[in-house]
Amino acid sequence: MAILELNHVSKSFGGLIAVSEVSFQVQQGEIVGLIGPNGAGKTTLFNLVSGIYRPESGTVSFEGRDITGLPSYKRSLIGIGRTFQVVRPFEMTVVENIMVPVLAHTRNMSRAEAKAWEVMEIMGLSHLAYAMPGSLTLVQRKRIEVARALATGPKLLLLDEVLAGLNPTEVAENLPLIRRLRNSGLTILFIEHIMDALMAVSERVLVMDQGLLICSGTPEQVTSDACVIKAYLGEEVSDAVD
Amino acid sequence: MRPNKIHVMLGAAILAPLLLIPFFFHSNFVLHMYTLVFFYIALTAAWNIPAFGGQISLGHASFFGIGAYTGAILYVKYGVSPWIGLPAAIGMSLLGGLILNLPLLRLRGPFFTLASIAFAEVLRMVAIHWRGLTNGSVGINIPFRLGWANLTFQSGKPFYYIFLCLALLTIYLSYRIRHSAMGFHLRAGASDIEAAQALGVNTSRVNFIALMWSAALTGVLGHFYAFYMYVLEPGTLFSLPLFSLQPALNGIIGGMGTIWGPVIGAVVMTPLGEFLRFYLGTIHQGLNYVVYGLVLIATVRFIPGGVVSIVTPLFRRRGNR
Repeated sequence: MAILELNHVSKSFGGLIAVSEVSFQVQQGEIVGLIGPNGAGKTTLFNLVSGIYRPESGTVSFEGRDITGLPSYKRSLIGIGRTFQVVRPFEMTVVENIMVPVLAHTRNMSRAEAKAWEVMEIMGLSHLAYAMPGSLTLVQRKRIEVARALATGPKLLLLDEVLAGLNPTEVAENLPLIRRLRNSGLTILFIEHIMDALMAVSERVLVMDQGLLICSGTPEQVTSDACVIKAYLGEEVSDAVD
Repeated sequence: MRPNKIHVMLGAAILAPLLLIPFFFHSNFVLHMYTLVFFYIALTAAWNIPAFGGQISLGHASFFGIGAYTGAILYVKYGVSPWIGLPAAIGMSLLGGLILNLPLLRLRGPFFTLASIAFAEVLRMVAIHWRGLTNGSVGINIPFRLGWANLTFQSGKPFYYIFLCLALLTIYLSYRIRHSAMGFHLRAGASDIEAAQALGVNTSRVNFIALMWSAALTGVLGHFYAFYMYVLEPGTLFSLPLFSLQPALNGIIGGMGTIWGPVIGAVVMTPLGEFLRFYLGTIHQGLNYVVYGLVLIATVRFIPGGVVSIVTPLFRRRGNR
């Protein structure tokens, strides 16, 4: 069954079309990469799925249910977790940050704290539990971002460039984590600019350009797609090399 | 930071002398000063609950006046004991909170603040012009009939203890709220509303509940304050400087959105305010507010987290694991 389905979804900002007539499905348990040059509409698409924006036309369905009009917090509660490209930790300790989403499901403080520790263990954040995010490195803050999304108990996880800004060693360290998450039954849709990473973990890749979904297929198919290479992958590769 | 032995001992060390003060100081002025400090601790702590979620109200005089007038009108016009009037005062303040929450559904940050000022000012005008209910600017005098049932006393001691209890109750409630799921959600929303919502936090709901708690507590304070002062007059009970700005000032100077910030703010600012009003206010009307303004500017400029942000690290060093 398709866990996520977009049907002719469009969104524009004052005449600028950010996402245009995009339709696709993500199957239960899939791990799907979303690529495209800057300004292609990837993050806007994420905002449409997570409910920060409402589409002007088209529908978004989750587990067969139309969620187009559902507010963002309700989407989180029914199982859509997301991270933000620019990390947005709250001004509270790491463990408190991770307790916030858990407390949307339970009011029991000690149970929430236990769950937060569980997630911190998975994400390798336990030793930073009482630190303030402002004092941490970007890598660590990105981990908090993923940890918080995980703590919502998602069925579908939207990861927005969680590897960007990391050096190649750090990227390599984080890849197994993404696979591990998938193996735990999660469905993952992720935006990534680092092509090696994308190719290494994704089963299917969606390509966007100027608000349009221009191509979809296995990493191999996509990289050999003439339209993708010509229109855009060349830039992307050079971007990644920078 | 959970309460531990040190906290309990510290609390007892502060509280014990406060319980005994009325037995050693018989001067009405001293008792009144303490009572006023307790009153402002409670008022500021109540104001501070929505501030956990980043809502800064400059209209708390609305809930305060509603609470005061409800209890007093029931007592003076219908002979209802203030203790029975209390739930009515709470109910009416909650109604006020409900009304102020309507714009809140759409307004955030400074826009909410402006709406809250307007709300209190409108109520003040209503209280002035609805003479049949409030006697307008002439005001309502609470008849002097001694007794606990009428909340009227010969000495200042009972109100000293009443406001001490209210201060403790408000601090306790704000502590409970801040350390609950709701408190976490308020703080998350204040820090980044979009991120909080994406993590399943219903920010409108927690902000609404916080405002209702604050409105109810402020109404209770207005109710007791009216009986403490005997006289109700719209210009005083819906006063912008006294009950809207003062708690906000105390909160910002002490440390907004924390538990102890409002306490510190009220303890420092109340005597300072009385002192300034007494010495500078007589030289030129309003001169005391100039000093207030300077203190506020200095705080926001040099210690934006309030006085509590200087004090907390001293405690943290040993407290954290």
